[in-house]
Amino acid sequence: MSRAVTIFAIIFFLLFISSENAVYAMHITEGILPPKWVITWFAVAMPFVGIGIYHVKRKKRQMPVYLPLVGTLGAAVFVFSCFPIPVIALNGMATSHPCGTGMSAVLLGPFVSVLVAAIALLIQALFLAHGGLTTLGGNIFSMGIMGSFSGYFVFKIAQRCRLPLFWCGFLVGMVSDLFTYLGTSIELGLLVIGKDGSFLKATAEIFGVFMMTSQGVLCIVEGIVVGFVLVFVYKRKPSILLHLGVIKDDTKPVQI
Amino acid sequence: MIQNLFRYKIFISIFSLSGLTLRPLRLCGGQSFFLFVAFIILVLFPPVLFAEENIEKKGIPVVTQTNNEEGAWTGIDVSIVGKYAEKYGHPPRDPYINTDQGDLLLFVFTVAGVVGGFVMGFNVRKIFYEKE
Repeated sequence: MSRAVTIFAIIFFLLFISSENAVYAMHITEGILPPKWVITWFAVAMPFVGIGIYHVKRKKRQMPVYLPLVGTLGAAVFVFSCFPIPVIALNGMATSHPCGTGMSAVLLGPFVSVLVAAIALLIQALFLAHGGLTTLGGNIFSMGIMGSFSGYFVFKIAQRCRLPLFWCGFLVGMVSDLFTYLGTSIELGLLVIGKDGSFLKATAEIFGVFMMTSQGVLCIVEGIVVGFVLVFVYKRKPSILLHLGVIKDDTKPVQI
Repeated sequence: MIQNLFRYKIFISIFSLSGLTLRPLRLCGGQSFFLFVAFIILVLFPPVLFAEENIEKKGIPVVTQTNNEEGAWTGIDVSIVGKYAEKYGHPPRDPYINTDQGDLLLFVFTVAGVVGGFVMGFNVRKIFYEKE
């Protein structure tokens, strides 16, 4: 194992010295968060990741199909969150990416969804110049924690309101996307503290810009995708949703 | 020119060797991780090193293909997150592992897409289409 760590350290060092260009990529990139916020966001994110690992270990014993499902949704979250989709927004042509954590939160549970998002973000930071290693905690907070838990709770509320499965999924995708970008706005808004700026004003301003540019359109797209995914799983293998506790027997999805 | 050709041949041979090391990956059990790491080194490094050396020798001005130009189809994370971070005094810096050099980013994105697609397809088939 020590050999593996040594090799990994050598690769990391060699890639580090080959780095010379400024990159502005997706998520919160290196250098944006000062050290105190780097530590804070890591401290916030790590317990969720730890609980996620525990949940995976427990559930894989109860349900044989759970691990392949984690693999599928992990790959889906990874692809979704580094997939720039062209959107005609209010400011013209732009690209933005969905998150996919709402979908994984409904199917895997919110804690496992945070774990899946953390792995996806780590791979993106290591190989795709997306996000960053120092900002990993912050990105896990926005995409993993905010996206997953908002999506999960919205799904529970929508179920209580007896909405059809498609519309439950639609709300999950939409709200989790919005909350992910709200999380990013909060993290950026916190940077004004101590600089004669208002945190609430800054957060609202950034979130408003996100919505007015492209995220307002993209959250609807993500909602539709999640709605279709839930209906597909229900039609193809409803036993999965029953095992996971996503639906009860009396749930009636809409026919599309 | 000859030197470049020689380097190109070295790169091709290294690339082929790295491809061959993947074939018996399943047979190697515990050594799989080391082979995977060797594959990453062999595939990722030659293009990075060659690209930088060529630029230095020919005296070509360094034109990077970074995403910081604002224009059509600019990512909103580029224009919004970067803009506000600079406004608040914390501009983005180089990533520690910078694959955004020439077509290298295109390569890693393609690999990521292929691997992600394969994992999704394989597991979807396993979950939804194979008999229990």
